[in-house]
Amino acid sequence: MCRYAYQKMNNLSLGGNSKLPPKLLCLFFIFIPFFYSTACGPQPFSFHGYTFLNQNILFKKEKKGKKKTGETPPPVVAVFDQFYGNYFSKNDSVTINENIAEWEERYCGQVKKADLEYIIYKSDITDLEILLTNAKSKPMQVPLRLRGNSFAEYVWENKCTENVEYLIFAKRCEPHVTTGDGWQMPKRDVAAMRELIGKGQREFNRAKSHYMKLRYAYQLIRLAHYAGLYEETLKLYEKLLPKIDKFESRYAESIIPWWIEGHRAGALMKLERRAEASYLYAKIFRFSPGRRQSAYLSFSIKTDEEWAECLKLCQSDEERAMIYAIRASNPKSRAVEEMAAIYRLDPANPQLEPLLLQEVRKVERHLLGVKFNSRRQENKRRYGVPVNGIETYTIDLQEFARRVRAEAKVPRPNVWLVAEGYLEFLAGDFYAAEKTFTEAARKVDDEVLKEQLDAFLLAMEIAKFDRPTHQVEDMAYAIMKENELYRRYPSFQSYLRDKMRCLYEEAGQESKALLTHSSLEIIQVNPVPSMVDELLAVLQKPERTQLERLLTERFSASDLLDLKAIYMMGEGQLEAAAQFYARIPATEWSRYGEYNPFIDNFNDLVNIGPNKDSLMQTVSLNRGDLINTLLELEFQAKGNPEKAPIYYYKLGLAHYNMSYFGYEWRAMDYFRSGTTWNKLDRGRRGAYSHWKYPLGNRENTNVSRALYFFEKAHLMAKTPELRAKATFQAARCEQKMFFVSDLFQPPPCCNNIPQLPPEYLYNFSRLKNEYSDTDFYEWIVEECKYFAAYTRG
Amino acid sequence: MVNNDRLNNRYWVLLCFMVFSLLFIFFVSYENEKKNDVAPAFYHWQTHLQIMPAERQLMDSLKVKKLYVKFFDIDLNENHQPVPHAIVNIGAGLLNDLEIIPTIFITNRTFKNISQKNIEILAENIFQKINEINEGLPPEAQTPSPEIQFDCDWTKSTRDNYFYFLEYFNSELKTQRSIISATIRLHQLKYPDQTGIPPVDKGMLMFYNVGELDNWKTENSILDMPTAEKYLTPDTRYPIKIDLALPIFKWGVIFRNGELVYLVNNLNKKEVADTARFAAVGKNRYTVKKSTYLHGYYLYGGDLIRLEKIDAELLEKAAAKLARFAIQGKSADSKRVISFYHLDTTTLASFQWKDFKKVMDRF
Repeated sequence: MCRYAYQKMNNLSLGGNSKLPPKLLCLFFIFIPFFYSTACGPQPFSFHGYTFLNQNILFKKEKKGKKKTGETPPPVVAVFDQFYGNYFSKNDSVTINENIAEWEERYCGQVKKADLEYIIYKSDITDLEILLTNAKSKPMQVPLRLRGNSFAEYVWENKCTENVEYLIFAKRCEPHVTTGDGWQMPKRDVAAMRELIGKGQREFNRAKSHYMKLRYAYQLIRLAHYAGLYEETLKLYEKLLPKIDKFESRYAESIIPWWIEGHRAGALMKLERRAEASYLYAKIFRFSPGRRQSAYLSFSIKTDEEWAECLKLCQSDEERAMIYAIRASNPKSRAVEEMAAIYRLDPANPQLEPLLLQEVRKVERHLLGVKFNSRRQENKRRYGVPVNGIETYTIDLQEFARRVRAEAKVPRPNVWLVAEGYLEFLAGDFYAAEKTFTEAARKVDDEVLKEQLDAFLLAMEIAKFDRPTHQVEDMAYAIMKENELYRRYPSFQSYLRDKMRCLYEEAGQESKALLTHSSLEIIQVNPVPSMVDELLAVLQKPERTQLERLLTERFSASDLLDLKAIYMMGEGQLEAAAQFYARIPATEWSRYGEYNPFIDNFNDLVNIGPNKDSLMQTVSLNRGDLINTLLELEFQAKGNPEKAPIYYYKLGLAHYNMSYFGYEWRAMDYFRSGTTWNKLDRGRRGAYSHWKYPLGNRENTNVSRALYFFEKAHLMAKTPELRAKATFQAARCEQKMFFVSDLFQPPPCCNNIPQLPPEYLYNFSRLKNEYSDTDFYEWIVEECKYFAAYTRG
Repeated sequence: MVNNDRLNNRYWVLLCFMVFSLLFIFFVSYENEKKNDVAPAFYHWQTHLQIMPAERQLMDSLKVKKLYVKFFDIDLNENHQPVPHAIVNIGAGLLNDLEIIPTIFITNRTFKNISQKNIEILAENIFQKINEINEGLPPEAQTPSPEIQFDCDWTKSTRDNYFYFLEYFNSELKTQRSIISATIRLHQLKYPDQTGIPPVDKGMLMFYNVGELDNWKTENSILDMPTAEKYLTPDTRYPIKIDLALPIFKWGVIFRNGELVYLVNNLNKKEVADTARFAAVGKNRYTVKKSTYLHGYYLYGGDLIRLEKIDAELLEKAAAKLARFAIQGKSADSKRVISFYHLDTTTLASFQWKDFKKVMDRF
């Protein structure tokens, strides 16, 4: 119940090469709306940070010409890997491969690995028993099922019956030592296991090969351990191991002694002899890759006394360093303490560098780009990053790195020098970092370390940008376009983007800030005039920077003018909209769609427009012409009382149909969200929240202008039919105005027709009371269910 | 006249007597009814189920008949498969006449990215595992229990999977006479519309762990009454029956570099009294002077420790607050369970029998 969900594992990847061409990569960086996938979308938020550490620096030698291929990483690298979550998955196969390799080696490579694998892990006891019988009896051949198996052929040929006897015994032990999957735990038959231990001891004594004796010892000790006979396990160890000739069994080269030690350590742990057990686990961790995982997890010291005892058991400083390294590799460690201890014991210890990287990574997670990280607030809230005490730790680590490189007792002081510079940079001391990096640049000649240094320098260069000047924009562009490291270290993309975004925001250049991580679409769905003006100004600058060109590459000044015109239309300022449209070359007007909002359409479903016949009879207009037509109609209506009622009705229709509620909403908006319908009363000056758009989504929900024109049409209309129609349309407007008002409460269920309060029923009542004898009234009562409901009261 | 007066006086005396008698009967029966409405219980959250005589004595004196025993945890293994961990090991004795309620803690991540088919397999595996453990319980314990409880701090992303698991378990696996319950956190109680209501027969409201655990400035994250009160109002209701769990535990919260790193169960003042290793820096707050092992955790010099515990006074305060809520939400069909988290000799040492009794009397 009081469980501790504090798993704040880092999910960033290290290194890696992108094969995308530079240009494409830049576009990718700029135009893919990065945060859609996580922060603002429906998916849970994940930690957002950067890393420029390249763990390949651990595997290289510093001097040129001394690089080795396939160099084994220091053991603690496995822990480092485990910290990043990708080490443990390989472990079972490591054990199997080690075992097969050892068998193969003992047969001088004369048997195939696949055949060995079949015999050891897949064949059954009967196969082996027949092989044993046939090997002992001259006239018999290799059993049919094993014919062609190089191991079986070899055994038969050379009469290696002892090995087969051992394998048969091992297979008999196997069912007793399975571990289960957690759901079904095997029940140990201790009596049967004891019997096998007895039989195994006889076989042990009988075996001539000391290598076979070693393997029998392993089987017996394992059986005793799994049977829960912990004292017996230790006794068997004491009894059997001295009888094995270390030279003949090639004990030192074998993996089996480590397997045996693992079971001995397990028994010791069960007997609460934790120090001895942990000491053994530390040795297994160091020397047995196949058992490294379990050894690391089993290492367990609980008290200061146990720790001291464990240290006393160590035979050398290397061993002492190992147990410090294991403790230090705990992801929650403050490992500078253990690193200092290891350094004191054995400055050349190979664990030091991986631990250095591990600790720098911890600091990096908290401090790198923390001032401009675009999601620093979420990082703080959800992951507690950065923590308050990280600066102190950074200084401790920095001091230690400085000491180590100054004393130059470690094999590669330059790794420490580079790390020191990076820590200074992370701590915000750019001056010191620059000095240290300069010194490092003179000294480092290892290619990987050099690249690491360059990556740190680039990170610092970006961090030092302080204002979005021409020069800075050009530098940012050059990094994106030309810098190889930018492509090689994936974090640079988000790092640079966040930095530029932050600079633009600080300089009040909101639209450019937005375009660093998103597209114009965000502004299109909710046009903010100042941002559109800012972008227009950028586009009309005589000398745009290359970064500005990149940011604005996907749209033109005409697009922005169209956007501005749309905004003005929504605001009811047609003259202003026309002025903006006049600035768009007429040849481009058709690029922004054609609209026909003048058709009577009584259907409230916006996706079902007027029928085709109606559309055929009228002309669709581009947005520029539409704006001009609306202005012309208004002008004509004022000057021509005869036709004014029709013109006003048409104007009302156009404004209604271009609103959020009309079929031609596209004439005045780029995006309409169906979900807005459920929150019409929650808009802020026409903008509604939307998961996809951080600035919100503007909807044209204001139909007061349409209502005004319908009212004018009603007042001036000469015929009752037109007055009835205008009254109905005005009533629709009133209904929608109610939906947008604070008074509106959505019906709780069942798609009920919402009740209108009296102040919004004026035109419906008027239609009912004054025009019930018109043809239109009869028709609309039939056609429109909600109106019929209102007439019924 | 005199006779009439006497008659009147007698009449009034009789009337008063009857009224007082009725009131007395009403209050006595109300009080009895009130007390009968509550069933005390404990949680057992260790991996070795061994009731100590002192624990049993306390349970008997409080007439505890139910023991919620954590049978195992479910979490993902290294192959991302849900498997049981920390399976309870049944010790000998002192479980007689106790109703052992299997309680299963499932990590939230278990329900992330799991298919419907695998949820069903998980439910079946859990069911079998519960039966297997039940078989290992001594015959004197009352098994199988009529209740199985699941504990999972579900989130929006795992809600559907967890609820499907509960539904499947409820409909396909539980026996006819058993019920399924689930633990409910305070925020889940407060915002059922957002968090959902688990499809179970009843819930167990965990009235603890409400404070900001990972904030060093927090006084007591186990039970921060002002924070807890924000989640409860007198009209708080929940669509399913709610039992109540109250904390009686203590722990130490360890901070390193400003970050919470460990929770050390049952840590007390005596254990940080060694001035060579620890220094007090405030009320219930300490710093580690010299790196050291403590309760099996290695602490570095500079680490900070905050001791948190529930004492009798705070426990009673919590009960007083909850009692109002309890009356609002109680169900008439069975007794409300008031369960204490958790049964442990070290924990119980901070409390006396009367402390628990006072809490029970609040309901």
